[in-house]
Amino acid sequence: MRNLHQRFTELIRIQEERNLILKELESELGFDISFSEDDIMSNAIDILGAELAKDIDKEILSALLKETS
Amino acid sequence: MDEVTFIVRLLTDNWASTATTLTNNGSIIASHAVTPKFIDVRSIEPKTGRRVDVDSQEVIIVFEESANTEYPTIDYAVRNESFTFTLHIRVLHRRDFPTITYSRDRLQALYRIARYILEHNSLRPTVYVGGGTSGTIEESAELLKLTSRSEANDRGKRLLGYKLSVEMKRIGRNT
Repeated sequence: MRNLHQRFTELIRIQEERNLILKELESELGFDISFSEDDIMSNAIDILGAELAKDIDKEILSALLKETS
Repeated sequence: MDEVTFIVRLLTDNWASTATTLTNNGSIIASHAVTPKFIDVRSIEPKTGRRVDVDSQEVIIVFEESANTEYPTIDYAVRNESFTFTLHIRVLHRRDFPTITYSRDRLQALYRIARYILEHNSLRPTVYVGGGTSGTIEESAELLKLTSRSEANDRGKRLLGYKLSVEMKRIGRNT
């Protein structure tokens, strides 16, 4: 299982960097499309959740294969 | 062509024809058959003086979330690539919209157009040289799937949004 804390910190950093770029777009678009702090956190949690679900699926499959072999 | 550009091109090239199809079959109303601005954050060049039209206050932002490569055979000859993307559809609610639910309906229409494109390109999605929906193949993948949708509204900024997760697979050989 991956280091969750490290990955979560990395995901938040990625989301924040993206958000800075989205903020810069305001002058171009004429309105602000950046995310709030809550959204940044929620986006990071969603991605981590999806990654965790995949990891768990893999581990269950691997355990089942070991069991049946 | 990188994968984010591929997704943006697939949506852009198919958007107008899909909007027409969905308008004709009654899934969306004609006033919502608009083309949003597609944003790939990596390719933004700030202060280039570009401005969107006053009328086109919808954006679709495309992010790549993950890219995994697996070699499932003993000789590592087969390459399976999986990519996941997030598509943020964001619609600005304007006070001058004719009805209070106009922006909500606009968001729903944009979602339906995006979903239609993804569903109708689920097997071997392809983009063609010069845009459009036929001709010489420029880039393709094997499988494309819309995996989830969640609401992402921002009341303070008067933005309505959907967050879509999309998965794409590419299969290749290293020979």
